[in-house]
Amino acid sequence: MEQVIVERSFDEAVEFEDLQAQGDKVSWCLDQHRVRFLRSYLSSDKKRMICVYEAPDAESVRIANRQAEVPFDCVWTATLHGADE
Amino acid sequence: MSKRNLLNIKLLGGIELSRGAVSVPLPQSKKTRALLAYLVVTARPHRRERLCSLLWDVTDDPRGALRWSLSKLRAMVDGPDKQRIVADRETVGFNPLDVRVDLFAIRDQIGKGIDQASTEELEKLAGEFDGEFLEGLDLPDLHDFHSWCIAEREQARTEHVTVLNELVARFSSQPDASLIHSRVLVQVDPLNESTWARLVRLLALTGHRHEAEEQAEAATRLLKELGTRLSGELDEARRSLREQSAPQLSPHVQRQANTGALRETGPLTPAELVGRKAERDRLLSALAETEAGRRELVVLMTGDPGVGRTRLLRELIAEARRRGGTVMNGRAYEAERGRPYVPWMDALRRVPVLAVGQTIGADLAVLLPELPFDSAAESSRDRLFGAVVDLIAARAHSAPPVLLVLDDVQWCDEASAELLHYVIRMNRHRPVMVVLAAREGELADNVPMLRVLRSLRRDRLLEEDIVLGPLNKDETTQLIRGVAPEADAERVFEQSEGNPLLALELARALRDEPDVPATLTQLVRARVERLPAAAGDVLRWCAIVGYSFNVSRLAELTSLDVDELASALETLERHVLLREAPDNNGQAGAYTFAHKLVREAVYSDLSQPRRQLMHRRVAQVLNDLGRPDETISLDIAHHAALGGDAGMAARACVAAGRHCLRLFANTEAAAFARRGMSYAEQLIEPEQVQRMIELTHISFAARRPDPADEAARRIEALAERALDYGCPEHARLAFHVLSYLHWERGDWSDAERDTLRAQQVSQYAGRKEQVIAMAEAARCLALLERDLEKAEAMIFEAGALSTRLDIKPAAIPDAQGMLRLHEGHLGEAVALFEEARTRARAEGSRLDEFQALEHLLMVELQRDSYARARAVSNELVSIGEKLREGSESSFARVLRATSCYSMGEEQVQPELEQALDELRIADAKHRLAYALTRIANVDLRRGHADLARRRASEALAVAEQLERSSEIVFARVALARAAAALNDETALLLHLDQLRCQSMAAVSTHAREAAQAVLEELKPRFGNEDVTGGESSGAGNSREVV
Repeated sequence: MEQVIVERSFDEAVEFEDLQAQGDKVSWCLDQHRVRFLRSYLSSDKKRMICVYEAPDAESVRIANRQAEVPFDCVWTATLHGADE
Repeated sequence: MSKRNLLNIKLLGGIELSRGAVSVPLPQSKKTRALLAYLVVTARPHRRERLCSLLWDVTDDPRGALRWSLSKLRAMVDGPDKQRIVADRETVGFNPLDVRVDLFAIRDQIGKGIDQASTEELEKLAGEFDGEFLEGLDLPDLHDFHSWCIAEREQARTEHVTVLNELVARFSSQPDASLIHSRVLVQVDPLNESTWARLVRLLALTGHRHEAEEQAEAATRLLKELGTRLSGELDEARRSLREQSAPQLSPHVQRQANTGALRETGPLTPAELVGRKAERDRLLSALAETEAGRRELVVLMTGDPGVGRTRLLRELIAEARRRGGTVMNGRAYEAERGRPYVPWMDALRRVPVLAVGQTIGADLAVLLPELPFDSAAESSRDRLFGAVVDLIAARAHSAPPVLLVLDDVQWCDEASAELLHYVIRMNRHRPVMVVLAAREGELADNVPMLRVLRSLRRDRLLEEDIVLGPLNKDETTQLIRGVAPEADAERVFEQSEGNPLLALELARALRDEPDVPATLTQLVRARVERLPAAAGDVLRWCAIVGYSFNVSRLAELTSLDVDELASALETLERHVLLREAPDNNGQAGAYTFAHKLVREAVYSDLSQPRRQLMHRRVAQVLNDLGRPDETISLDIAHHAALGGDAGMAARACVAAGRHCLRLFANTEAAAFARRGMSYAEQLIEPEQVQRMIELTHISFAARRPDPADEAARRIEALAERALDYGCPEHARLAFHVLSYLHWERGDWSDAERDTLRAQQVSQYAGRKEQVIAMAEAARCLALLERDLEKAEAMIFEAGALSTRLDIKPAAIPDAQGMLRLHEGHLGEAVALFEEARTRARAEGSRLDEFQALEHLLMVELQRDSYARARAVSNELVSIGEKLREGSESSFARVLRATSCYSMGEEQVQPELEQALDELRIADAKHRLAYALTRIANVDLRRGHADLARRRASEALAVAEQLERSSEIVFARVALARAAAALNDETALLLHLDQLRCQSMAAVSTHAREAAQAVLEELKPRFGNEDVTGGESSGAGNSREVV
């Protein structure tokens, strides 16, 4: 499984809960693609966000996000370095 | 070069030619004159085809028409030893040897620097501007020529403004001299507020305070009417005018004021017909003969403008009425040439509605909307023509003789000419007299009418040819006595050369001024100039609207209130410039010009920008009426085109074209489509593609396109563009047209596909969230190859729901296509993916479109159709590049390179590797696995087994990570083949062994079949050892893998 990072930016401030609710609607799809949400980082102005998923590949995360209609700027597979390694 | 032999070509004002001081008469054919002007001004050789399409785009034999015109021109411009028309088989040009062209002389001077010219030279230059460039030579139906002419006119006008501004500035210390040029300037540059303000100031300065007030008011009204934003400069000039104390009126102003209230006259033409006895007798005896002999008689009457054709016809009409006969008279108008059946509509309306039987009326209702229309009745051109003949036959029986008079047939449209021909042929044995009146010179430009006349002559149906010449001196004297007894008859006769209209105008003018202009246009112009400002304005609006018009329309155009307008109309009527007449629909409250030439003179006196703005305003006013009456679209098309409003003109051409199709006037419909297309080209998307599709539809309906292949390609490209711009309704129309084209050519399967696409596109719109969620879920399962039964059930439900909601998301056919692909039903899969693609485009979803196309490409690769795959992959790349983030672009390029590689293009390897690297970075494992396996298969075919093994190994690893059973099988198949090719028995055994287990898990039939095939194919390598599983051990396949 890969760690997949999703970068998002929004024109207006967003609430994390709203995005989560949107993502929940396609949880079935996430399951099918074996995509698991790990955590998110939301900027102080609530206009930028980074989400971390565990998934077989970045494409599965793209597919799931597109279906949930949660906008994203880019999706990339990452390796973790540092404290949690 | 002696001045005597110098050829002078005058282009400013009407085109004129003279050799030395001797005037050379030009042919009256407008197109021939236009050709000369075009050759002279462009000063370069042109291909014959170009000239034909410029001026003769719809005639049967354009090259013949061009030859005819050139032969006329040669006789005029070539000298004994000078060939000025230089033509060969391909090109035609004009050699300007010993030729002086007024326009070029002006441009030379301006080129040298206007400030370098002496004031005297400048005044001479200003004098060269005798009117606008090619005045009166408008050919609005010929779009290319018209555009060229307008552009040249605008340039000449700008040059005129430059010269006049310089003169006004030079005379700044001599207000009287400055005023002369300033007066001209406001006519040439009427939309310039500063120019008007300067005129007002100059008038005040020179003591013309009353006129200054009047001009200020007229200018303000004009600028407001034409929607010009006022800066306040004119107001300022007006204010300062009021602040000045009222001076004594100078004697000159007094004269102006007096002449402003022009002496009014009685009727323009005397009640009694003067001269024309022989012609009148011939006409009346022909009418008597028609009635007595109960046979048809056709007369053609020709003559110069103003020679009195209409007046003579009035005599004949009166006689027919006196005999109790039926009169049907109508006329064609130059401005309405594109409008089908105009003279016939006029003529048919002369028959009382009650006299038109119900059956005939229903068939005529397409032409005359006031008749009861039976929507259930079938209509066709034959029925329409038949109804006209029936009506005439009925009248010939009940109220003979029937007198059918069509005036100005030189402007007759093709549909009218055809109907005329039919009517004449079908009424041979009835008491019907047909009189066709025309300006002879311009008749040469009307090919359809000439064709009819030729045919009538050949069949001996055209028996009388009456040519109206000038009046003699006594007749002229008698004529003018009726309106101006004190006028100098000798001088009038000399100057008018016996042309009755000109004689009357001259007589009238000589009464007011001793010094009068020579031409009719100038005479009318002078008369209009002396009208009160409001009446002059109304007259100009009338000239813009057309030959006849109703008061309510005028009221919408001018900023005058009802009383002011009524008073202006009264003035114009008293001055015999307008007369009251029922409008086209027989309604009262309409006016018409006293003579066509009055309208022509007023119209040509308007500057191009003013004319353009006025036409645009008329178009706007008509457009705002929002009437469902389609006939108005013909007017809108006309005015919007002349007003330069491409959007409105294109829309109106669509409506007008459809209207013409309903009237079976196919030539006119095709002409509107062609004209509309030239306006559509100026529009921006999506309006451009929308209009183009509508116009193409009209054009194909009017005339079968030739060559059809090219037409099909064009309309298909338009359909695709419409989808690109999110216009599903227009895409549907285009697919519908395409389907019709294919159907007509017998391409049944293509036609079916196009119809399907048309239906799909048209049905796509509206609420969809519920269905989409289910459809996406089904697609998700289909793509992941999980629980395909469930996927099928979900699609079924989504399909049912979508039908109920009248929506069809792309995901449904795409998912269905994937299911059929897994089952190996490639044909069905292709149709479904095509459908998915069309819907995706209708919805404007590039991503969905990409997916559908990607799946289509997969089928092509599976079918080993590499050339087709390459074509599809090119499209895929182009869509992929438009998608912002993701793996689409790199995947598309990988597939394109794979297609090329499949076709033997080894050189694509670097590109392929680069795209694969990008795909790895994008981390789209399924796409990567898919691509690597297909490339490995190509590697194998091309003998690169090592490379194949490397790529298939990576594919296998990736597919296993994703747990994609089919991809795992495909990768194993490739690996097994690679091992066999490399004679690696151990690896081969391993892969075949794995395949035997894994193929059972694969949901895709295709994957299972591929596994089965390789197991059977490679079985002989292992002797009797059963590697294929029990069931297939007996299925022999002796092919060796080398």
